[in-house]
Amino acid sequence: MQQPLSLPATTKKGRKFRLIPKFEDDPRIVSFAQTVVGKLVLLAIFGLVLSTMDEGWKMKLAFLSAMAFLPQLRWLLVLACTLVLTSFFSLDQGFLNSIARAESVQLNQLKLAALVLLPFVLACAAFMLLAALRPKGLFARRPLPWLLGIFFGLLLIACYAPLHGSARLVAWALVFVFSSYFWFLAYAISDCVAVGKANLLHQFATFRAFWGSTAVPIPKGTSHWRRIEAKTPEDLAVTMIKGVKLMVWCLLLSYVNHYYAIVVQQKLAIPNLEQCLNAFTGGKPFPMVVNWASLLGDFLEGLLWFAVWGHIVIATCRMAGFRALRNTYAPLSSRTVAEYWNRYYYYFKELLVDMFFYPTFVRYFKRSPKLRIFFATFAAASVGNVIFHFMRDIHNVLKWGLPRSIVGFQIYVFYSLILALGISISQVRARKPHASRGWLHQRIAAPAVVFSFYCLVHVFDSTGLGGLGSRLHFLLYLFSGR
Amino acid sequence: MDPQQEIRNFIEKLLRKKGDLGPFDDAESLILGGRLESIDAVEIVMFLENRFGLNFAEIGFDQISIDSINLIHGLVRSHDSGETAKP
Repeated sequence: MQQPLSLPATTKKGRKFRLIPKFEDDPRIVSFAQTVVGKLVLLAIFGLVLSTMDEGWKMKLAFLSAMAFLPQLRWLLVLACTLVLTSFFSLDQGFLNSIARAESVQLNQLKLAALVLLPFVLACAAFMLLAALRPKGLFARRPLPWLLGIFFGLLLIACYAPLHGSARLVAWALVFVFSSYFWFLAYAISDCVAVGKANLLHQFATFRAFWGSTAVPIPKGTSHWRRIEAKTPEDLAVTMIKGVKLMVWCLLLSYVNHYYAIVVQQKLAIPNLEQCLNAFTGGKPFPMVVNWASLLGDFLEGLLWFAVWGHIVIATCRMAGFRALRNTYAPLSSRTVAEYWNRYYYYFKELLVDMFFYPTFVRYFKRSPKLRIFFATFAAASVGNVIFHFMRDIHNVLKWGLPRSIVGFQIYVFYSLILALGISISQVRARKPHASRGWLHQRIAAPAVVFSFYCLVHVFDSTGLGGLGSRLHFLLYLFSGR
Repeated sequence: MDPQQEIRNFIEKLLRKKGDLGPFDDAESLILGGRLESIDAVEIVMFLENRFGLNFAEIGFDQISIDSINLIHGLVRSHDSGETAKP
């Protein structure tokens, strides 16, 4: 279960030990947090911690302060801060520069804004308006297939159309910007259909908000934001207290991560997984025990790093007045494969569930609940997962060409199939009533099995080039030493 | 039985199955609040399809539309009165 935000944990009797107390349950602290001094204290603690982890902390803190005192302008301030911090749009300029050099074209910001960003923003606005004006229309009812069609059409043009010079640069820039904002736009269109109007300011505010996102919208789209937005001064105080608490927890975790990396990489000198894989494919594998240590070390380090990153994002989001759930919440306590997936990268899972799982689930195999869950889970955890990562790593197509990029995805396709199978079985099993199991099973055995599953499939969690055969061989080597 | 009470009983059963015995009111956010997960939303969908004949393929689906007892009840009422429920 994800961390409840507004409700007391009531599943256990008695008081649970907490490293950071539940200050938000103390009415005196909540009252104080509503005063000017209280807000300043919260902002100061938050800013102090953020300054140790984020270079853009000054700008973020300035905007968060404005949001704390002018909550009625919150959405506008989110949009303004995002625009300032991302130089009007988040776009990987490295790849564009390489195309510009290859095509002998001068790349400048004005040209980029006029030929790429402005048309993209106008197209997004047109899609949103179309969805809002015709909620029963073909586009509004199934926006995702349409958007995917447009994206891959654009990709084919960029790859194969006889374009040269600025035209080629613009085509690729549109592909990059579209892939970067694709899922934000998908959520925005769904929201426009749901509410029957397109509030463009609110919609664009959710596009890679300043607290940070990958290609995954955190925390989802506008309708979600509206629902979790602090509505009263008390709500805001509780949300900000939770933001500060999460940031402090994040600082502690970042220290753990730092010293863990020192121990694994420097003291124990364990190579990372990529080095182990390279040594193995090069015919000079490390000893079996080193490979196991590397797999374990790599997996845990990745988990810690990811938790720290997600906590910074969510803590900042909470300081802005949105009671978002954590992105990562105690994944190692998961007792099922599906639970781990929910706890590890909550907003990615939500994206796949919203965009692929539910649309499939409500349409197909209605008479067979098990098959229905299996099919929808495969649509999300496998098909959706692969599409998402292919689009996220779209620069690979520029580097390697389309056919090679597709073939290169075989390892990730295999990974997604195993993942979907594990999650499907886990979900179907979870629906059956189980006799209550003992402490050892609940707290040790089941989490250990889940951890082992994810640790092993981590071998295949790669979107880079390379053969599936060598990864399978490496896995075999882990067990057999041959 | 009153549909709202029936929905409430179903949600209570779902929460109990997860070991969550805490109180909740009809306006409380269950999914976005973190007490229920996507797989629980699936159970709610199947319950609404089987018990009240809702067809989400037709009306569209969004977790937010089943986030609280009141919202689910609203969905059932609009279905009963022949309105098109908005997701």
